[in-house]
Amino acid sequence: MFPLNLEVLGHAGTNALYVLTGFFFGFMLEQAGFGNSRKLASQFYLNDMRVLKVMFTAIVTAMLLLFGMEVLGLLRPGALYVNPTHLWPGIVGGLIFGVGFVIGGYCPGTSLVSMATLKLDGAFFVLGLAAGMVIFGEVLPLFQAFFDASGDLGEVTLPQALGLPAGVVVLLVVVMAIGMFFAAERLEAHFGKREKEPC
Amino acid sequence: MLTRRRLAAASAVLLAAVLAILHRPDPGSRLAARRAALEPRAASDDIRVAPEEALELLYNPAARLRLLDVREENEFNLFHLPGTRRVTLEALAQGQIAGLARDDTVIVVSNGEGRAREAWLLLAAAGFERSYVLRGGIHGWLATFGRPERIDPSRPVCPQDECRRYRFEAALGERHPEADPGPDALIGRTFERKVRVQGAQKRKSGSCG
Repeated sequence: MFPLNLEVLGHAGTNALYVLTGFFFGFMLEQAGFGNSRKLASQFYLNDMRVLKVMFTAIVTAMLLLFGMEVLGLLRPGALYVNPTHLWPGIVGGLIFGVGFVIGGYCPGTSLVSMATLKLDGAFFVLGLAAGMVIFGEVLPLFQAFFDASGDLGEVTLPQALGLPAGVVVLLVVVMAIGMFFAAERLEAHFGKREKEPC
Repeated sequence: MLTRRRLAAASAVLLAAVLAILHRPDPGSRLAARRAALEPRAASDDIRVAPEEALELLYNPAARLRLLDVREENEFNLFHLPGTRRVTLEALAQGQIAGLARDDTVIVVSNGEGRAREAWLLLAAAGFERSYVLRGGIHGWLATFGRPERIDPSRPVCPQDECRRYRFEAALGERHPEADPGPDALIGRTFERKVRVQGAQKRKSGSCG
């Protein structure tokens, strides 16, 4: 049954569905408070862990729904696209992404949400994002070999990497997420309280 | 509020545990996890069944032989062994192997052995322990039981001999004489047997009369 064959919707219908999905994705990010750079940056000061909690809730919800659909025979196994893992480019890119997140207060998706709610810092972040994409495209040939081949693990999933059945990995991720939520609450209670104390 | 959160956390863990128990991974996923462990056996000679033994098993009902052919449809239509079922590697990876029992003797056939070994890996990952590969594939069968003119010397030999090198004037499938040369074709031939045929099954009920 899933993934759905979107060809029946035609070109215009498919694009309309993408716009609708994007709108609701942005709406959810805004409702979670991700259109505000101060709330997003609070993640790095450990006094508001909503980014971690929202992201992991989304991961666990999507994982359980997809896995449940596969178990019920509603989703064809192996039908979903698995992004290839390039280990070292991923680590370097993640560090650059993290530094940009701390400095700018946004990640790409949330900056668009911020701009959509007419926040000036969000709009400037999107301008910087566009400039960064152009510069990256222009200088990519200089480190193409590193980008293509360094730590190329292919389309690897957690069950393959760990050598465990998919069901066990799903259970472990859920337990890990709950443990992280618990730890995040403790950190918020500690650092949030300290922030409110007078100097 | 705390109780609701605990309830949500417990529900998520319970749901994950139930799904983990109910989940039956398809052979493709199982193979991805076990490929390193299975590949040495797939590369070994233990799973290669000689054409002569395959023919002998065809005439032995106790062997419960199931022949699977993983070649292209046009190649299958052109020529195949008697009673063979065509299946694609994609279908095998998705677990579409209905009609096969775990204790059946399964021999996988391709032009050479490359695709057949890939199919063997999927079957082994799915728990079909009595799976084998036809040694030399269809090319090996025709070299053993076919007429020399069936092999076209002008056709190139591809990696793992998977490109078709045989030619037939008509797509008669298993009605070509070479598909089933009969048990007499084994007279005077010596070959190594790899398949241990289990004894004939005992009747579950009493005999009549």
